[in-house]
Amino acid sequence: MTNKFLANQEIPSFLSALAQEYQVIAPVRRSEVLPDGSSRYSFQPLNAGPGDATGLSAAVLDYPIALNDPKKFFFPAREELLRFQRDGSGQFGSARDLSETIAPPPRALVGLHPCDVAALEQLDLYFGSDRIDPYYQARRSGRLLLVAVSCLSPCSEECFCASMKTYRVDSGYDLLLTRLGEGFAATAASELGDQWLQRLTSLAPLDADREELLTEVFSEIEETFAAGVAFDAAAVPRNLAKGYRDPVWREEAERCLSCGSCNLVCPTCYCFDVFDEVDIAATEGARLRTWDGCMLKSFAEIAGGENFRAAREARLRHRINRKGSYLHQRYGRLFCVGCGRCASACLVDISPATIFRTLEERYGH
Amino acid sequence: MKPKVAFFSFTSCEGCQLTVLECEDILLDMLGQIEIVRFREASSLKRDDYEIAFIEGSASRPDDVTRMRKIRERANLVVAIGACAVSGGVNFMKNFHYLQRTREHVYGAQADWFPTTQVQPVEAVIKVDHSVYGCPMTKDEFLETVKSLLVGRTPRIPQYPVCVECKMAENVCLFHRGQTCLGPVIRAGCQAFCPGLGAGCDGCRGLAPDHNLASLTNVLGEYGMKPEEVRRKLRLFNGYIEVQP
Repeated sequence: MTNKFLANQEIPSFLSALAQEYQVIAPVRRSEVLPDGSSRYSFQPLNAGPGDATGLSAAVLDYPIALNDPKKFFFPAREELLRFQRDGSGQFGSARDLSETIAPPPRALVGLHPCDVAALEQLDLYFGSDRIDPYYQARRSGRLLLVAVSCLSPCSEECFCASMKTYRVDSGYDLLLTRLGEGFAATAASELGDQWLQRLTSLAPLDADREELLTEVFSEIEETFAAGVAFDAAAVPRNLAKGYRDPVWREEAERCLSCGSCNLVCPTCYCFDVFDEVDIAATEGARLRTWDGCMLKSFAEIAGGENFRAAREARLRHRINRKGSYLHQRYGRLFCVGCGRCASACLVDISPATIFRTLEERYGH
Repeated sequence: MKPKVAFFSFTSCEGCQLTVLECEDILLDMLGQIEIVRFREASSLKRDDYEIAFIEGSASRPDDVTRMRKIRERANLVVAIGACAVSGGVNFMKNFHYLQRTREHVYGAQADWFPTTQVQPVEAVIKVDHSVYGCPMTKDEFLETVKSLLVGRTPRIPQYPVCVECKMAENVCLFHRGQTCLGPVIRAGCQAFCPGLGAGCDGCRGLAPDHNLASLTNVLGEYGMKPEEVRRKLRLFNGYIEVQP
């Protein structure tokens, strides 16, 4: 596989080269500098034209974390699934499945962090293994180039990728950019990535000094994140099973606002609601789906007003068990990447990391 | 047979009736499905043979209660539209002041000419079948309600708080900006309009059914807001919750 050096001044031409074949999607600034000194970023499609605020120059490759992960480009917050209309007899006879009409442009997702790559692999599992979701697949199987950026240190106080072992991933992307002084080491991780690096002839190969530096950076990454391990991820499913009736659920859920923010910013949450909308004359309509969240009370409410999880603590326990136990039983892996978005979004400091650690302290021996 | 519909206005700015007129692109289609027999902001017709009554505004004069009861007797369905009708809205602030002083403040020397009462939302006077929230109500939620009533199903109105819509829109949380917001306890459906523009939610759509106001009050406390200030902030649109049965 090819390795090259992408100097800072070559980033614009690198993105322009990608923009000739792809719609480039990258993190852009979404806020002013906030009181805590940080800023917020968001993945956005960028215009290929020069200069303007939504152009390629707005891309930020050194950033802590994006508000939402790139899930939204494959599984939008709201989408139409079917369109239907009344036939001659007045019945809603014919429905048109819209999955066949989904045709996104070729897309280059630039700037994904390892946790986002890991999350995308988990969504692929859900939407593409034991059940095939045609809407997700139509977007995911389009022409796609995934350019990841290495994390050198934890991006926030809330992130716990160190414990989840998702601070580095070695598959699921095409190119990896790793900060090396005045530029990035660009390493290929797939055939497609390799082809791109070979095509970018203006980039110098990674010389021996920089190769050595890159090895050092990778071992520093290992050391930095090893120091941040707060719990044993492998023991999470077992501890959750033992802690099913633990008071931690009530203790944490008491202050839960039931606002659903944790669900909505989670890169591995994929639950949705499905409903129909008709026009005012009820002659035609559409079936839609929108993101939903298991922390919202309405999520488990069924006809007649019955609710499987009416209590906050039942909902919190369910959510954390989905991440650390139920889906582990189904897919053999944890459905959490430790990005910490849920904990950052939570105004009352509820974090899976705290719960995993608490249960480990109480049941982990 | 098209259902006959009437719009009634009580104490309010009539902004919700205006919202109906703002359904411009769909207004003619709507008239293909319903017959409007009373709508003072748009028509001189004044008939009383309606089946569905949309009520805007709250009761705040002695004869309002009688008028509302008469509407209830005639209509099969009563829909409260907008914050004033649903919960008293801004009008309800009057109830936290001395009635006579408020009256004098508003009408000055002519105060005695204008009898006034404590403000009551529609549901405090008559049975309400459906509510359309907001100040003003949103066009989409009004249309959703009309469409649902026409086909006989329950309108799909969000039960979850504003945070859901903020997160979908990738708004930067106002708390992270050092500001405050009532969004975590207020019913969504506005597409997080105010937070999206950088202004904290003032709660015009009322408390979300599963709110945790006690917990949000603690959060607001960390941002320097005393419980008394939280209560006052809520009184802008939600004074009714302090006395609601």
